[in-house]
Amino acid sequence: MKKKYKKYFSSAITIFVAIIISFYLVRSMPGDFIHLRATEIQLQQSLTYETAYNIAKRQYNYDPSVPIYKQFIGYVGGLAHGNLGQSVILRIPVTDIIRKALPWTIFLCSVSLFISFLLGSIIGLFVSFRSRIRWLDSTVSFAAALSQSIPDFIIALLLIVILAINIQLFPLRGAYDVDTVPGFNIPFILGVLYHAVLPVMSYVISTIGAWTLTMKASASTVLSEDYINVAKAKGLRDKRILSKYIGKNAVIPLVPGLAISFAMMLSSSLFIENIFSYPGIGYFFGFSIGNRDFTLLQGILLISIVMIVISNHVADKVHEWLDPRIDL
Amino acid sequence: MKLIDSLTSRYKILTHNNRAFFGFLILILYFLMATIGPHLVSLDNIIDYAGRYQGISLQHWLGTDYAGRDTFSQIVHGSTDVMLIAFSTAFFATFMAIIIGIFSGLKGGRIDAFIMKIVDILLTLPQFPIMAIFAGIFTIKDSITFGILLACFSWAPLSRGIRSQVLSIKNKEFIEVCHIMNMSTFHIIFKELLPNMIPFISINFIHIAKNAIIASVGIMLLGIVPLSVTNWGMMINIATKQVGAIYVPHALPYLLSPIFFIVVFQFALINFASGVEELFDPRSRGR
Amino acid sequence: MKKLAFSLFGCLCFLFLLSCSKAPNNKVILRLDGGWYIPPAFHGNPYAPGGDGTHMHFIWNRLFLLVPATDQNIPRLGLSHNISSDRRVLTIKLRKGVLWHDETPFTAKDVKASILIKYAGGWGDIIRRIKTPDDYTVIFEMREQIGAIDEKIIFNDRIMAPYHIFGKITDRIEKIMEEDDRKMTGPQKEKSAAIFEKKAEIMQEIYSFRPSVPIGTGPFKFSFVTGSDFGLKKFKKGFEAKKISIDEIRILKNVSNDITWAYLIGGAIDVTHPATLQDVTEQILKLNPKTRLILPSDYGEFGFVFNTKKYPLSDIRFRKALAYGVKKDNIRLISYYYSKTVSNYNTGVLHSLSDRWLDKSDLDKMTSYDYNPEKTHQILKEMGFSIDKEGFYLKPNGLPLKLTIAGFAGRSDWVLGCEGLVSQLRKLHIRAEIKTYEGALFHQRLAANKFDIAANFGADYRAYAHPLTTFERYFGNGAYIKSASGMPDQVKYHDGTTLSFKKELHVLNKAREPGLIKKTVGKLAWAANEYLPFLSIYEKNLMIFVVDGKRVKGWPSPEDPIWSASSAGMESVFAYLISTGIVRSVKEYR
Repeated sequence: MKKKYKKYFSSAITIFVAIIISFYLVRSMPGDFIHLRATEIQLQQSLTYETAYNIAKRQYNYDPSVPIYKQFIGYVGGLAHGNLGQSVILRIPVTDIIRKALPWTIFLCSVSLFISFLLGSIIGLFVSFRSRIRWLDSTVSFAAALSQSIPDFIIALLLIVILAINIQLFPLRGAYDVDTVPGFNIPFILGVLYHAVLPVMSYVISTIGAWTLTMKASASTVLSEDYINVAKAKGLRDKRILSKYIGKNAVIPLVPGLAISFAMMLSSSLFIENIFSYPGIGYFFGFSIGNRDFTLLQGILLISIVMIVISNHVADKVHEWLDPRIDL
Repeated sequence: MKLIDSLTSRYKILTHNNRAFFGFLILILYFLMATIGPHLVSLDNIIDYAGRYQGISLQHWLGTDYAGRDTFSQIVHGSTDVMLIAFSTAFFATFMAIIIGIFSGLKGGRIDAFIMKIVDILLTLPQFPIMAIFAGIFTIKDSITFGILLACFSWAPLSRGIRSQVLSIKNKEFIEVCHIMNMSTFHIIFKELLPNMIPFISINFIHIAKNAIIASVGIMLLGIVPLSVTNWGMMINIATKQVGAIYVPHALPYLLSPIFFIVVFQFALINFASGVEELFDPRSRGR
Repeated sequence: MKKLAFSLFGCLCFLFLLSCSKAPNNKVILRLDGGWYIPPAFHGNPYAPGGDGTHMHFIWNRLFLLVPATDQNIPRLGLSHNISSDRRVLTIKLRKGVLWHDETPFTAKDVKASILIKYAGGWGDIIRRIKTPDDYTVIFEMREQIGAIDEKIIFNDRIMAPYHIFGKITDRIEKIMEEDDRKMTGPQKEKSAAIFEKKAEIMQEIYSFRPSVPIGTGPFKFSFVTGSDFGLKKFKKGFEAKKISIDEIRILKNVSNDITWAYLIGGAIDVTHPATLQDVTEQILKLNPKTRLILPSDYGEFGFVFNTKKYPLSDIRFRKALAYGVKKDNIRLISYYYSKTVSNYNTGVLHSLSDRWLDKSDLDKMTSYDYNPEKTHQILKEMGFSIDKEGFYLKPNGLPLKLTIAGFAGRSDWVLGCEGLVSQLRKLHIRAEIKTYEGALFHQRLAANKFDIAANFGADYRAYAHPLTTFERYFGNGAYIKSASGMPDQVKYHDGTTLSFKKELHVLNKAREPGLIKKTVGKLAWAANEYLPFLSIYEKNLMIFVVDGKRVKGWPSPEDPIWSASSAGMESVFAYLISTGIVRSVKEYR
């Protein structure tokens, strides 16, 4: 019991240190938003830069000359009350934005990641088990190289052009049918699934190659182990060997990668969400970077920090469960 | 003499395995392209708008781009930087990941927990602000430094993967036997642990190398390094986003050339890696 | 495995059937693309970030729509205007029978409220008082003579602040305006910092105001908003509602040009304006015979800012050498094929309007930078530059000469322009490289003079069609191009006198006699051309793709002067064309 608490405590410290570092980094990013806004005002209204800067500074009620440590104390004080602060540009609580946008991202990314990981590792496992069939191995390797080398934006664009524009099988953009009422009703849920097909597909196609290859490599290590030969000699069925012995052991080194991919989806979802106008956190992540909305960016980073620490924690647990001999 | 013997025997394995040999040959070709290629093919920078998107011909092996410049010479001249970036990133990142992953996994306990906390913190560092801060302070002149910069962002996930492999191998019987036989840690790492992880490490090496080619575009757009229109990743980016090559049939060679060269590069690496695995893992040689 | 595949396939089939079974929609929907803040950031206050976006053009009307090609003002909410003979009073008569979307009548108070908010936001120190003698008359009393474009700024302003919503705030702004006026006319002429503080405080309140739905007087009202679509429906009680045959407007989220091209090729959109290279454009027009391309001038010129604070560009001879050695049209073709060529002068006077503002006698006094690389080499050699073994120039101190061209990451036409320039410089034996910067960093670099040459807009006339906006940009105190290029406050004129920019800009703003205006424009144009803070490459055209005859028809011909109003926001032109019934549904109106 005591050990468990210790672990939570050390995780909390990790999160805290990460927050301090990211807070400092975000605030020292070049190109502060007041400058950005001042340039905009200056270009629109033909004012001198000084006047525009003063106007912008007043608009946002943010003074960059306040020392960072004072800003940080204020921020942590807010955090203690579950308050992530107010977006400096949008003027709404950061928690509101995250509460609305995060579920979409989690839905899209976990479905995509699940499908991509599952299909990729099944193919990888199968190919590695049947590695004597040379043509299969080569074909899969080539397909994986193809999937990895074509950038995701081209894959998404091709899917849009072919499946949404030419055949008109799937919707071009958005997360649900605008005629339906968001909520727990069947037309809405079906619409959500229908709209998710293309984004999920482009995510899966562009990442499946990596999972296939990693699984293949991992499984080939396991395959050379003696106990596999023993199992084969015992006359166990292939399916049982695959799932019981190889699969379980081969998946171990992939678990951290899976956890990190899951945790990183806040930033990696930016592109797919953008191209399909998906209302997830990617839009706000891009917005907060482009406009230097410090508090919003800070809030999104906080979520991603917590997700990384938790995911890695879970990955360790899964590892323990898969391989009871180790003690973490 | 012994060394030469072992080298030739290893070379034989490489040539014996057809796939590995095939990959090896292609990599040699890429190496030649990156080293002596730029001296053989001259890069023509002059814009000739009327001569844009010429088809594949003897004069222009891969046609011309949106400004009438020869695509093949761009690929050749870009290959030097692309190869350097890809390999230096992959090399440094893998190196870091191996050292940290193995050390942390072997030591275990508090040290492991502490190192993993640091890795977690590094994983949480927001890439964009760091790059942006970087852009304000430095400009990078050579591709290897560029590779090191990219490597800083790509080693952490791999080190976690390696660590968890070390953790599961560590408890296997043969390692315990080694411990009982009082073998040196050095021996355990290089003779027992690493060979077991070669397939996993080499495939990740390939991933990192490929990702570096694509990631270099983002760094160029931040102004940390000058924009290079011969960088393959940049060529793909320009061809899709600026030129709209997907919609213009006669612009397709310009889009497909860099993709083709990256795919083949990766395919060659994958094949070559299968030979490397056999080199290090005697047990799978027979299969 | 099989089970999984089967169930996946089943799901797909089901979803497909679902998509087919949808009931057809009888409404006429016009589709275009644009941007807005997605929920939960979206709100109905257009003055604060979160409320602005493409929908503004359809929800709110302007007083007049400015048509720069003919210098006309088309009445929208305003019917007529009049400026007193001493140029100190502007009277605007308003349209009657206009309703806000919540069905409150539109009156002069609403116009006053909107201009007061503009005043609190930083513009309009010239205004002394705004009077509303009756519901349909607004009188602006000015502190000084109305300047060259002041009235146009008011005409062009969207009336977005209904008095019954913003009244409490704008009444307080009016008090500030009165106080400001007392201080200005009183003994201390200095502008009071207290006034500035008060304005800022009020603006804070305005920015924090977050109604959920925007209320305007425009032809369309808010219907719904998501992350991907913005829906607007016809305002049935609008003052032009009878002429409108389009029921809904659907704005699709603009992602990037490559996606917009897909929309265009697939016929998913009726009107859009992506900057597009020649071959993609031809492909789009070929695949969709009903698509037409309209190319109105953007009233702006693309080119390169020279940093006159950094050697060697600090030497006027070097800048001139570059101007002689660059073939503008080669850069224009690769950067923006559908643009207008410009002359060999770099006067800052927009090429297509140059006859209106510049006389031949003015141009005769200026250097014409005709393409002449020999001259470039001659000047460089005179300056002490030499050529090294690799065939590139060395600086007089023996170090290699290398110029860095700053580009704006993401603006592909600018980056292509940079590429064109690099190619030309290499031809001149000058080493050059491109560095692109993301938006915030780009502006910051320019403001801090951390670059050699940067892509940007020089001439920028907008809808006002007056050189003042550009010369303010070039020479105004703290203005964009001036601070980037580092031009001094005054220069020597060709007759040996001193040319003070501040003074000349003031004359240009207030002068009325055509002779004086032209003379001043001539002076400033001379300074721009001879001191070369900016090298102009081409005059940008907007590229508007309209699909005529699929869902809607009646788009005016490309030559129609109405298109020139696009430089102040082409969606305003679309809104005008739709609400006057010029663009209408292909179906007969029910």
